[in-house]
Amino acid sequence: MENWSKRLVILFLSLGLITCAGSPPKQSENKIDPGICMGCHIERTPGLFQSWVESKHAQNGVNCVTCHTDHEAAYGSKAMVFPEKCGECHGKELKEFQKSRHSIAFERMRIQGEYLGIPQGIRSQFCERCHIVEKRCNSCHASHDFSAKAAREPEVCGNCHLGPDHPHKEMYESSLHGIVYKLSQDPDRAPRCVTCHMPGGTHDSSFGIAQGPVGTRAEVVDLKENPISDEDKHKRREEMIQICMACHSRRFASEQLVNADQIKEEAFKLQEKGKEVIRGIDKEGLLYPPLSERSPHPTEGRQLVLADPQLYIGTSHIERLFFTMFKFHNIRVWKSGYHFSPAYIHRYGWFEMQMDLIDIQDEAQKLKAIFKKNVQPKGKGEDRP
Amino acid sequence: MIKKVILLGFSVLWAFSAPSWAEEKIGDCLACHQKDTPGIFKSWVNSKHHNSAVDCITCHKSHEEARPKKSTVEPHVCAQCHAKQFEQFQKGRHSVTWDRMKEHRQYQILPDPLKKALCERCHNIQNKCNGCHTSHAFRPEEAKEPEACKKCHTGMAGPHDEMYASSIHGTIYASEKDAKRAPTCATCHMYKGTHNSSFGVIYDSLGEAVDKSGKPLSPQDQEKIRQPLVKEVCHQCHIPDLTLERFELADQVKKEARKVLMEAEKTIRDLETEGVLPKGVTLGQGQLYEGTSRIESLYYRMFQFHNVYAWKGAYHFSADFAHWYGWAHLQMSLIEIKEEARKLRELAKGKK
Repeated sequence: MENWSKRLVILFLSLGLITCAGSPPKQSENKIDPGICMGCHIERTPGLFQSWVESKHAQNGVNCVTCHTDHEAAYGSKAMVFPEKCGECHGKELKEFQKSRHSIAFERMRIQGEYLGIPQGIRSQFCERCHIVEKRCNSCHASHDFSAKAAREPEVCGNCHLGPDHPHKEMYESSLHGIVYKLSQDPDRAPRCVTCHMPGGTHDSSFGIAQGPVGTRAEVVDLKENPISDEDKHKRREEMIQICMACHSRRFASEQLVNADQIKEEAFKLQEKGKEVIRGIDKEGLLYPPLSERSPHPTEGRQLVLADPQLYIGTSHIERLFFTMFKFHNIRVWKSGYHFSPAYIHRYGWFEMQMDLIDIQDEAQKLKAIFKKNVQPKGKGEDRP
Repeated sequence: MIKKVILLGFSVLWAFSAPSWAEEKIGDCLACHQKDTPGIFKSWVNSKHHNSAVDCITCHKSHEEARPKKSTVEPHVCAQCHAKQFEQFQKGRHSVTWDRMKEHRQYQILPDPLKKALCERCHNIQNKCNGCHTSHAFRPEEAKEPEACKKCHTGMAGPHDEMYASSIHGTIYASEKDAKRAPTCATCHMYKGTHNSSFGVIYDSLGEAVDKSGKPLSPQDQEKIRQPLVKEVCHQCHIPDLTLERFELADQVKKEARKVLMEAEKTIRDLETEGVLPKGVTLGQGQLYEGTSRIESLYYRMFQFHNVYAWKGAYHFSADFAHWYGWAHLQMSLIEIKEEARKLRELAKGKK
């Protein structure tokens, strides 16, 4: 088997060299001949080489230096190739990508309080690993075969879109759409992520999203964080309904989406109840550690922050209970409404939110019973040092 | 189906005609087991063992011997043919899982029926090769798939499967199903088919750098263990600088997570010193999840689950586990422990 693949590699290489000799590619002047790269990399990084050999890029004469420019340039940026580079050939895709929230993922992350609260040395292992999608097409089109076919599979989106804070993968898998796709492996039978979010192969993954795309906020905003107009909202909803209409009637599709809108409203109402309890505790001066003794919030300063961009570090326990409520459970309720996963709307979402509220109310009672005698309630205006 | 019938026919013919076996014995087995346990029989008939004339009695010896130990075939029996694999297996932690479990206090105090259904179901890998090479096909191709490891390496105490699945490695493998495109568990941990599954691994399940007998590893030893993994496996696709940087980052995550854990431990130890908690509280290694105070149980989750997610998630390149299930939950648990300590203190004051 190994022999066979080596032979194939040699065959491809020699074909490549013949092609190069016949019609030198534009970039060959003053640049490293791809042969030089391969001379070492075929030995040093054989896996990487093999996947390039099998890629469309290799077939179309796109080689190492086409994207990495030269060895020195590649070294400096740790070999990263930015979307603008890919855009030289894939102009349409780049333009579409730039309309999507993917294109501001890194920028937005860098001003997020939660990100700033993480020790600098390890941030790249956490948030950056996914938010880097702004800077690299190979987040989805994995190096070095950059397969478009593979990138359409739900697993690829699931690389980032999963877990406690936004379990899109899990919601999809537990929806009828996800189950039928898993059983049939046929995107004509049931939608995958890209069917709805990147229809017709658009790289604007924010296509058709008419409701609160930004994590935990209620309102829908554009890339500059301005709330979108009602007209725009209506247009986006209409675009999405067109996708649903491949299988569903217009009436059914719009009913389902309106129902999800209503679920979202209910979830945010419930979340407000949690906030109210904590604001009450703050007024009575019962938050521990008190705001005056905490290091200030990286973006909001020394004030009580409930919901985005609330931190999970160094707050009071009652705030931490609310963190779980808004960051994990509320998101599951309303996003699952749009992804049609009853398990995530109800068991992992609504049910958990109700339990959170019980915990928050219970904690408030305990704080009052145990500590109230020790503190003087705050007067109006005193709660913002 | 037809193929199977033909195969079955042939094998039965073969079974009765092959002179190299003790004919009567295998005949005796098949006479009943073909009917009584047709599933086992079929998977054996289609196995390499069958093709290589390895039958019931080669491994199970005889009916009398098989029965009292519930027909378990131990690794040293497999080693009669697979000596190299057995030798490699014994170098890895898989070969001490049963002994370690037996020493664990939590195991010792579990009700007997629970011991079997809970811990032993995975820890018996020390005593049976068919933990991974499932009976009676024993196919290496199956054992190489990440799903085969998942049977044990999943869930709260060791969500390796989930970490892998949410890493870029697991993602590519799931979407392309090609072990040359992206590594499976076996690619890194059982490089080139070694049965030493601790290949390249420095830490035990709680993150201590020790060998399989629990002896601490010197920094030089650690380097010696990690290097072959980095050089031979990672470098197939990644350049050296990048690979080392990734490992160093994971090392840092491990250190930072340990700091959070230490802060929680100190909070609880302070209570001990102040007399709020009784003296002699066990935290971390050897700690039980039953019959303790609530603040200790909060710590149990931290050290056994959240801490492990943070650092193991980092070595498996799963941001979701390293950050959300790990780091974020460590921080949230720390908040809860501090609050619990404050309440305990206040309540103890009232009693005095």
